[in-house]
This record gives sequence, structure tokens and C-alpha cells, in this order.
Amino acid sequence: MITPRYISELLGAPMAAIVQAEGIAARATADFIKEVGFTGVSDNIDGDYGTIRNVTFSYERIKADGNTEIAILSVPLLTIIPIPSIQVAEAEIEFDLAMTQPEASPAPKGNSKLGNLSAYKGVQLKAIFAKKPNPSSNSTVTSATSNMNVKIRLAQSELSVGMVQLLNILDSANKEK
Amino acid sequence: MSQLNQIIASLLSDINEAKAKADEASRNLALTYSSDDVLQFFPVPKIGIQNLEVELKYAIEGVEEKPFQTSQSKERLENYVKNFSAETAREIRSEITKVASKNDLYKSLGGNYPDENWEGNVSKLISTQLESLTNPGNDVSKNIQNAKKSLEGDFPQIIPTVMKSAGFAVVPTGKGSFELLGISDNDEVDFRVTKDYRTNQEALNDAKQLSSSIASNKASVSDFKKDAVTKNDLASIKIGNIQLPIEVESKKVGSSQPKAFFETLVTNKAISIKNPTVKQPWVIGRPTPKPKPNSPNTPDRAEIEEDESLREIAKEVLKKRMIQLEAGIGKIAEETKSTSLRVAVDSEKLSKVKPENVMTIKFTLNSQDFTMMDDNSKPSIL
Repeated sequence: MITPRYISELLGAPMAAIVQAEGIAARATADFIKEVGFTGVSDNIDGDYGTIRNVTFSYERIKADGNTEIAILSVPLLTIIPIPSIQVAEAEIEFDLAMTQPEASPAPKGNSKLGNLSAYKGVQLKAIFAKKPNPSSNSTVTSATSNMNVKIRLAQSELSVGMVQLLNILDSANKEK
Repeated sequence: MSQLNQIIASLLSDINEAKAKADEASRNLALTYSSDDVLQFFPVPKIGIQNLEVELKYAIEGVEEKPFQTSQSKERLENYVKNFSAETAREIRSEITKVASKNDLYKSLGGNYPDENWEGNVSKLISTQLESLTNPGNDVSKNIQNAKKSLEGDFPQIIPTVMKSAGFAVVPTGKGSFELLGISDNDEVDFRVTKDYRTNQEALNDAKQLSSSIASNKASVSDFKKDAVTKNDLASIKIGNIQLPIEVESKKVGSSQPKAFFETLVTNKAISIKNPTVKQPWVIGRPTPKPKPNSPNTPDRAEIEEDESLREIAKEVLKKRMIQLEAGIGKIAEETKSTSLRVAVDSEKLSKVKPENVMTIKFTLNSQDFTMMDDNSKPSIL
């Protein structure tokens, strides 16, 4: 990457990527369930997956009187095969950045003191990804090496109150249809 | 080149924005999950920052001292300027009163001139001119010089001036009118024309007529009286069709006959008008004033000399006080300024800096730094 980007983008992109990656993995799991566990999935778009896919087998069973009989057993396929489901428990991101000359941030508009606090930073920082400086080198920093190291440790967190409320509302809306 | 505090503040802000991007991704997924029959039973991916470490290398390029702009420092400057303006106006008033009471030419202003009302208005005028100084960070010296220049420009209007021309003086009075005086070469009052003039131009016109009539021996005096109350000798001076009442302090007349006294007065005045004493610079120790730019240079105007003794004393007071003002504002600025580091953080610039001048700052944020408050004002788990 040659064009310097805002630090917030460089920090936010890998974090958002983890969340999105989990979403892709979940989608794959859901597709697996639909395709393996049910029949007639492909031509359904409104959630009717058809019938559950069962595994049927017969075996010879000895009855109480000593005679044998053929018994047929049918079990859902999903109950006997492992469903691939993965979730990121913990992630660690580490990268090095070479910062560029900070740019002056435009002054906030309006009179609100707190409203514009986050928007106005005084300076806007931009950087490019760069290699770690070589500790054995005499020169501490070269133009090709970084001057900022970032380590972020992430873990799965519970949904916030607001998110739970949002999901409940959406769930109710689905039931009311 | 930026200040270190700005860099750190910007970094923290960027971290918050980055977390917001991850949250936004979670929100978008939540909406997708809720509309899917299978995914709706899945937990929505939501990540929380457990720990974030930043290590930043920077080089110090300088130390910057800036005025600390708070409401307290502004209030302090406002109070200082307000008090300064009031004290300066009081001092100018006191000095003007002293000079005016000693100078015969300004006696018509009265012993109480200038009054308290004048002082209050001058205080407000000074305060208005110095308003720019109440904003911390402004160029104090430049603003003081501008304010001084502006106030000196206002002085001709708020400080009375005597206009002298060929043995006569137009003097301001405490009532706001003008009087015409006959004066000697030493600025002593010979006689007073007892007439109130609304403008100095009216008085100057009479002065001009008196001067030319007396010089050509066409002026005559009559109607000699004594005023026991004011202890003045009164007379009328006739110039053409105009008759002007004049008065002289009785003690100056002494035992002389009033008619003889006034006639001698007019005769002597004619001599002094025809043979004016030239105040040579080497005698009086003052260079001849240069004609002022933009002032009308008509022959009449050129003969008028302005007595600026009151204005000069006000200028002196102002000059002295402005030095004190600069010191006072400087002291407040010194006490309220803040020091910050000017640093370079771009890697290209750092590559040219000696390794020993490169410094490192490390900071760590943990999960609590990203805690939000829910509806019940309890920290929610993020």
C-alpha cells in the first residue's frame, strides 16, 4: 500500500474483517445445514426448506419370543454428523505503520461543544503499512520502516443491550408476519 | 510539525473510530442474521477490544509556549483591562485638571473640568480600544500600539484645545461653547469678549475682524461700566457695524480711568498685532512646528496656532500607562501560558533525525476503556 490512509481505517479494517469473516463462516454453516440437513433447499427462497433429510436403515432385531424381525430406523442426518461451526474466541492483530506528515483537521462547525468533540481532532493522522525497524541497525528509523507499532487483542464479547433489543424487535416482526 | 498532545488525541480518536467500524460490521451482520431462518439462531459476531497497545516513535522539534485559553484567563484579562482603563482615565482627568487650573487660557473650563462623567466615558473609550487584548494569544505589543494610536486620534475631540491667532485666543468653556480672549505675547489675558460662541469658527471670525480693525485703528471703545459682583470693568468695542462687549479684571484697571485704560489697551493691541513677537526656536527651545499633513493650508489657517498643552499631558499619561499595560498583560500571559512539545511523527522525517533524538511513547488501552453505558446507566458488556 503506497497511498497513506487514515489510522482509523488501518485499525478498523482488520477488526471489521474479523467480524465479517465470522459472518461468512456462519453463513457457510447455515448453508451446510440447509443443504445437508434438508431436501429441496435450492428452489426455496422463503424459508421453506422442504423436509428434513433422514438417514434410514434396517436391522434385524430379536424379539422376546426369540424370533427375529426386520426393524427400520430413521434419524435426521444432522444429528449424526458434526456441523462445522467455528467462532473466533480470541484474535491478536499486530502491525507496523510508517506515519506521514499529520494534516490539519478542519475546524468544527456549529456551536455545540460536545457534539463536535469527536469530529475535531486538531490533526489527522495518516500512515502506510511498513516493516519493523531492524533493532541491530544504527539508524532507528528509515523511510521504509515503521515508527508505530500497534497490537490489538480481541475477544468475542456478549451483545450489548442495544443490539439484543434490536434483535428482539426484528424477531417479533418476523413472528407477526 | 504538530504538538504531541494533538497526535495522541488524534490516535485515541482514531482507535474509537476503528472500534466503531467493527461495531458497524456487527450491526450489518445482525440485520442479515435476523432475516435468515437458520442464522437467526446463531450468535452475532461481536468483538471487544481486550487490550490495545500502541508504540509510537517521534522526534521533538521544539517546545512551544502558548497562552492557555480558558474562561478564567480571559476573565482575568478583562478585569485587568477594565481596571487599567478606569485608572488611566482618572489619571488623565487629574493631570488635565491640574494643568487647566494653572493656565489662564483654560480658566473658562471651570475648576471641576473634566467631571466624573467625562472620566467614565473616557474609561469606556479606553476599554473599548483595548478589547482585543482580552483574547489570550493576540500580539500584545502590536495591539497596544494600535490602541494608543487610536486613542491619540480621539484626543482632539475629547480634550479641549485653545486656538491662538494674532493676539487673540479662542478658548473652550466648560459649558461646551467658546469664548474669545485678547491675549498678550506671553499668553496673558488682556480682555475677554463676553459673548458665547457656539462654534470656534464663529469666534475666529470675530477675532479676525477685531484684529484687522484694531490694527487699522478703526476700533473704538465706549460704554465703560463696573460690575461690582464679578469685579470686572466692562466696555464695548466697536468694529464697523458690530459692537462687542468686553471685560477686564478691575484689579488690572487699578486706579486708572476706565476710558483711558481701555483706549490704551486697544492702542497697545494694535501695536502688538502690527509688530508680532516672533518666537524664535532658539529662544523658546522648541522647533517650529511642521505643517500637518491633510490640514488645510489656507493663509488664515496657517496663522492659527493650537495650544496643545492639555492634549500633550494626556498623551504623556497614556504613554506611561501603556508601558505599564504591556508589562501587566505580559505578566498575566506568562502566568497563564501552557507548554507543549512540537514533534515530528512522519517516518521520513524521523529517518533523518539522529537515533538519540528519537523518543518512544507507549500506551495501552484495555476493555474498560471501551465500556459503554446502557439505559440503566450500568456498564454494559462489550
